[in-house]
Amino acid sequence: MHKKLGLLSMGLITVMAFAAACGGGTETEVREVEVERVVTEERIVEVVKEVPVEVEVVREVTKTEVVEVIATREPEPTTMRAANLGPVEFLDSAKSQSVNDTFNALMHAGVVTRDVTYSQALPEIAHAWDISDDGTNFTFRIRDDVLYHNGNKLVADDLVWNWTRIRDDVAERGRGKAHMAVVTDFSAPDDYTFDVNLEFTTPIFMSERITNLPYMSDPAAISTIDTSPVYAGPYRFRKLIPGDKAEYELFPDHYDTQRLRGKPTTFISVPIEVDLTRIAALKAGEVDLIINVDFAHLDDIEQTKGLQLLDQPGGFTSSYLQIIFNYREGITKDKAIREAVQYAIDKEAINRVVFNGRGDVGCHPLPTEHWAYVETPCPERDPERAKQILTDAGYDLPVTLDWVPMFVPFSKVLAQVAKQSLAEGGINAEIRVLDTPSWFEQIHYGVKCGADGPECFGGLHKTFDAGDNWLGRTPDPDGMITNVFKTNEGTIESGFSGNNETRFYDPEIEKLFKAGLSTLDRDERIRIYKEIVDSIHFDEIPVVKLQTMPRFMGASYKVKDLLVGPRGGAYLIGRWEFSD
Amino acid sequence: MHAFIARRVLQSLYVLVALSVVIFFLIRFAPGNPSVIRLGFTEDMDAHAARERDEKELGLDKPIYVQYYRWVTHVVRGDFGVTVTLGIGVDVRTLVLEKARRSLPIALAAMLIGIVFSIPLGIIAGTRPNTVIDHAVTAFSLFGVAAPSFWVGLMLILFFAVRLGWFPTSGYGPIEGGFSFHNLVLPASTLGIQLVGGLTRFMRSGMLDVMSSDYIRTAHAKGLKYWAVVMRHALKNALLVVVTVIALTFGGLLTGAVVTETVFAWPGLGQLLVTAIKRLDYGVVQAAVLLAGSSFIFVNLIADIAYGYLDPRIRYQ
Repeated sequence: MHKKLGLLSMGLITVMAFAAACGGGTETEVREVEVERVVTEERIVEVVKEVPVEVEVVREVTKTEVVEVIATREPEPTTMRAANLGPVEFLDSAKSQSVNDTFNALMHAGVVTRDVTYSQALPEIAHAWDISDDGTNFTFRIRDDVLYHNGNKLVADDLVWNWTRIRDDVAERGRGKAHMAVVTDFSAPDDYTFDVNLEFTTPIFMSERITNLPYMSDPAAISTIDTSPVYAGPYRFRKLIPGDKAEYELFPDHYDTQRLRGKPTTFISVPIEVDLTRIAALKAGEVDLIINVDFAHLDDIEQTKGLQLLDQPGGFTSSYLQIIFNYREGITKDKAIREAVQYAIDKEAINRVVFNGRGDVGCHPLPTEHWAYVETPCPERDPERAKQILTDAGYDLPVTLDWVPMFVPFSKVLAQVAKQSLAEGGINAEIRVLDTPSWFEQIHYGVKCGADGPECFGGLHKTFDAGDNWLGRTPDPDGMITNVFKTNEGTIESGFSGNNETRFYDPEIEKLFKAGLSTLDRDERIRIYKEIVDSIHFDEIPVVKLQTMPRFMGASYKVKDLLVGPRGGAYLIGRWEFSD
Repeated sequence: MHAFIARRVLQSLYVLVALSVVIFFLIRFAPGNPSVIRLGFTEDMDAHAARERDEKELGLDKPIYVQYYRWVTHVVRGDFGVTVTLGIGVDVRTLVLEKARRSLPIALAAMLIGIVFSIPLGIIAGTRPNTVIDHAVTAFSLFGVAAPSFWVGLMLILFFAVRLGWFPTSGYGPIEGGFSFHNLVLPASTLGIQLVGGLTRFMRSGMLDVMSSDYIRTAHAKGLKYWAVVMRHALKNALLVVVTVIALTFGGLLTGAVVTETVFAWPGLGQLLVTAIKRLDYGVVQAAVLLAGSSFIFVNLIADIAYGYLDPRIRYQ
């Protein structure tokens, strides 16, 4: 018996060892790049004639010219592998707002696209456009060479069909309808003209609204959009393993061949949820790009040979972090509490401990590089003053408040640092951690309540006092400020949505929001947004800005010139390249 | 014997029905609302109304017993519905079976590691109690049981994948596609270390019990060689407990590798379950847990029947 067992054990060990040894490896195939260098020598004879002296000088010049001839055959197939946080959720991008779907953008083409700062529209399906004098009518000239991934030709009627679908059919998914809020109607007078009318002129229509609708899909293929979408972008869909990876391949018939240059022929996105595993996969050369690098690991990537940290050009980011208060309920309804938190919170400590000192601490919602930023003195940290404010307001110290961290990984650490600093200001922050579904229900949407009243708007109320809130908005002040304090229809009775977790509302501020959105005069807009910031951030204090958040990605040096957009996503539209 | 088997099968069916009830209601007690997750960060929208419309679309507006009746009547026909968050329109049954298929190698390999290492270690420790070897084996098995698989997994990744480059860090196979044994080694070892820890302790205590039995003393008295007594007479009986534990463990391994699958980005049933729970995808959670529960019940059923054959007394109890 013991012999049999011994043999069995040996056999099992051998099988395992053999399996490990001969299993299909993941070694990257090394390919030779074929570039022919042809050196030609050209003899140039320069004849200089000097007149009237009858002397003829003949000078012989030899010029050596190096001509680089790239092989004309098809480029070697290359595969770029990117690690995402989770598996792709929606292939129909009109329904998506998940960061896990970020690489679906490779398949997209919209009427226009945007520059790397997300502040200027660039031609895409439309090669040109005219704007009426009053700024409310846009006529887009559509290219006649745009093909969908199934070979069908894109015409202006398709844009009408897509916009109608986004506005009406899938309005409760994604954010498309919100971007069309100012659009009154649109039409296609002919195959290559697309007309759009706006309710009022707005500086963000071209730079933000329309560029956020890039997912024009073939109406003829709509029945398969959830499983096998057909768009018109530089990459086409190849495969999705639900809950696993997604594959895209270069679309050779894309109209903009320049844009395809240097791009990988295949792009694979794999979900790797754990930060350390993602970084390990990058270090081991198994992936070429990782998104959302945790701040704690930035130095590690920077110091690892062969790896690079991709960042935002000029450090321009529209991502920021703030404290939010339940403005209408509980203890934080009292401005004294909010003000005390403002003085007690140690923003520098949060930046140092949680974000490796990479954030830009401040109190203005806009980054200092922003055109609408106006130098504003921040309230200095003063825990004693915080205590005084609370005592003057009649509170016994310490005052206890319910602190609910956001669902992002760093929020729990941030809550601990915040708790310590608030304690010095006489505030006891009791941390209550919620899972993601509960955070959405209790903090973002609100919990159902009986009748509308002072704490119940639109049938919902909120169950928290304070917490952190990380935003990555479009970089216009409308996106970074107005959008955060949105009401459903601009009235308190309509309830709140968007990112207005605080449920701050002021009818005078609403007028300023509207004014800021409907003038093209930049100086006027700067004045308007200064007034808004002064009123909200320094007077009413429904939020306390902590810091501007730069965003990073990690990549191997095979990836060249890929930039990070202001909201933190890869700027896949750009002229980046990949060499395997 | 036939009556015994029929009785056990019937009992398993009862358990399966009870399991379906528990799964269905427990997931609905989980905090949060699936529609809220599906809608995400709404913009320019009456969130309350949007949520109610979505709940209606998902059938969540109906009383819970109606929802259960609908689900069960579909499930008995093999229809588990479609996932609402992991690729719209994907059939849940196909998705769960595909993930289970991917979890199977990791479960089998971990089990293999567990058996191959724990039995010899348990024998060595059990036959030499209170020696240095016994203490070393006990310490190792304690480490296996106590060390969190999250930590063990990351350490293995950092050392064997990043530093030595022997194995890939994560995934089911090469990113380009397919399965690779190379990818299996680290996650299976992570899970295997845990199993080795647990099984070694069972094996050791089994050996200790058996080695002090009268029949072993008799065997020694008959002049049999020491290792002949151990391998021919003691091992067989000591293994009984371990075999039972192995059977029970394997049933849970399919979905029990949640942490290991997450650390190694192994796209199996455990990872699917975590993703589905986070997104409150009720259909996927129910199907995954039902499959895991069913496999557990099935393995137990087989073990029960095998016991009935091996020990006739059990049949009459």
